[in-house]
Amino acid sequence: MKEIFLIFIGAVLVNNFVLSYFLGICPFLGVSNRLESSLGMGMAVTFVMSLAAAITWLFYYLILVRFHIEFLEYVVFILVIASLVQIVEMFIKKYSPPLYQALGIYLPLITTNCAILGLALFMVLRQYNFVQSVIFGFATGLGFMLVLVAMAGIREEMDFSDIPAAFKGAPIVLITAGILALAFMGFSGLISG
Amino acid sequence: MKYFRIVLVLLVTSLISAFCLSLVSSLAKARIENNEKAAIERAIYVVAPAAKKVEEKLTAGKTIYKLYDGQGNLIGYAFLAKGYGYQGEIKIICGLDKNLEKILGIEIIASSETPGLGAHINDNWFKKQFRGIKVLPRIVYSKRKSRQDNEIQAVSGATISSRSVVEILNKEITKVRKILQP
Amino acid sequence: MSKKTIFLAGLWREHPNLRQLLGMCPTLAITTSVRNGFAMGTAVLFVLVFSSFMVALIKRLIPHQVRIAVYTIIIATFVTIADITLKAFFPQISRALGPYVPLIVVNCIILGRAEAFASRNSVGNSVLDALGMSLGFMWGLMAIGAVREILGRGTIFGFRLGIIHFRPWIIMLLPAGAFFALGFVVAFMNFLDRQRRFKT
Repeated sequence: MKEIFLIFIGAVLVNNFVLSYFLGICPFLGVSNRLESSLGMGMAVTFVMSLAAAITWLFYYLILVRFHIEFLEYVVFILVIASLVQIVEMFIKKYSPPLYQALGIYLPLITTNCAILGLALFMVLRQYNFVQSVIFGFATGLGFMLVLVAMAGIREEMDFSDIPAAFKGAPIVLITAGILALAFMGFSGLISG
Repeated sequence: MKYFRIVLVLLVTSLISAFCLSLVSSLAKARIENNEKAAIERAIYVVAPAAKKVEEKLTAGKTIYKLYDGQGNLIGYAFLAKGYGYQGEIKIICGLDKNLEKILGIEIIASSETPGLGAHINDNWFKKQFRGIKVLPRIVYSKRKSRQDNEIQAVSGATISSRSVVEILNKEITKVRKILQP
Repeated sequence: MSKKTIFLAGLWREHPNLRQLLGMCPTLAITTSVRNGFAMGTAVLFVLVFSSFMVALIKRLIPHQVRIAVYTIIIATFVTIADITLKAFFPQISRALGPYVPLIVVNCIILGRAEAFASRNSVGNSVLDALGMSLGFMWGLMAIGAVREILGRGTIFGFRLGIIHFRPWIIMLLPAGAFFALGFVVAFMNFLDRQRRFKT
């Protein structure tokens, strides 16, 4: 139980995927300018990550390991993730049009989101079991959403500031992210021992 | 007809990919395993320079290396200890004397701790501390200079990394002692 | 488009990581030294050139609907080969670059070039484009790596710079420093752009 808690806190705060491992930067830079889209993207990502963790775990241990074809890890993972996102998108479109309106557009972006593949890779590297993997996926998604929403809040405020021309756009977002990363470093004492 | 073509292209591509990868993987497998073995061997000789002969033995699921000097006397044992540090996995080769009471030395063969802080566990001064350290009841660390013979000094500003090394060692040493002295 | 234009595009005008802001993960993650930047750049060069080559070669055989899936399989295959090769022949580099080598699979640059260029141009031009883009990506990585290594370690490519009284800013080697370094370098590129625009 303690382990699961550690994995959870670790993924959300201490080793946040965006601020510590730089996974999910593309959508982070692109979507974090508005609060609503950040919430939408965050929820979509959390949902897909949890599902992806479960499914890639099954694929890895029940097929790749069983048949000793671990070298197909990257090919299989990316195909599984891409298909999963595709299926989720179709599913949501069909069964919940309002949900699709809110989240649907972000889903295709998620496939090339390093975060999902990164999640699968870490899960294998750290040899998490099924439950740990799903929690890890869920927590990672939450961590991503947390940072995205925080950044959106900051960016909406920054819209009223006078930013030097060369820094407008990506540079100031990156520097802000750096400061956020500094702040998150404070969490590192949380899971000691 | 169109669907047939789609499925065929996907199938062929996947098969070619799987074939190429299985080829490359099997070609490289031996080499990758050798790299691992070589790294461990190098580390063993660093940990116990007096060892002239190393004998690998798999006991109770754990690979333990018996170390002999030039005259064929047993001088101790070496084994791999691994676990998580502040940032990623730490792999340590640890040498124990033949009575399993003192450490001959340690060598860190893999770590990805914070550069400038935790990474100092790879420094010679930190690793040298472990030579001759008593392992009973357990190794401890302290932030000031060590006073007991089972105590080492942590890297300043990197308590978590230092603590991880100590914990990883304690855990594995207990395990090895149980195997070799049931 | 002349061959020269195609090749040079990736080196400055359409620079993949410092201008198009693609491939951010490795640009931020492994640039703790110039050497790492060079190593990752080489890995990306291998994957990009061979993937673009393959895609351009078989572009007429691939039905439109599955092209992304096929490109992805091709890219993932070359990434796996690169990863295995590194693990076998350059284990230290493999450990330094870590999980970011397999993450080349989702590096937008590679799929982007496959879709935008290799799928509609000749094999020769596609390879040129791939070379330009990957060399551009590589110098981008090395530039950020240089900033972080000089400020964070006081060395460049491993050689001590010997600037007296300079205590390294370790923060530059940490995640926060990566963001700062990239932010300032991109701002600098923007600045240079504006200077050029106002001069002409």
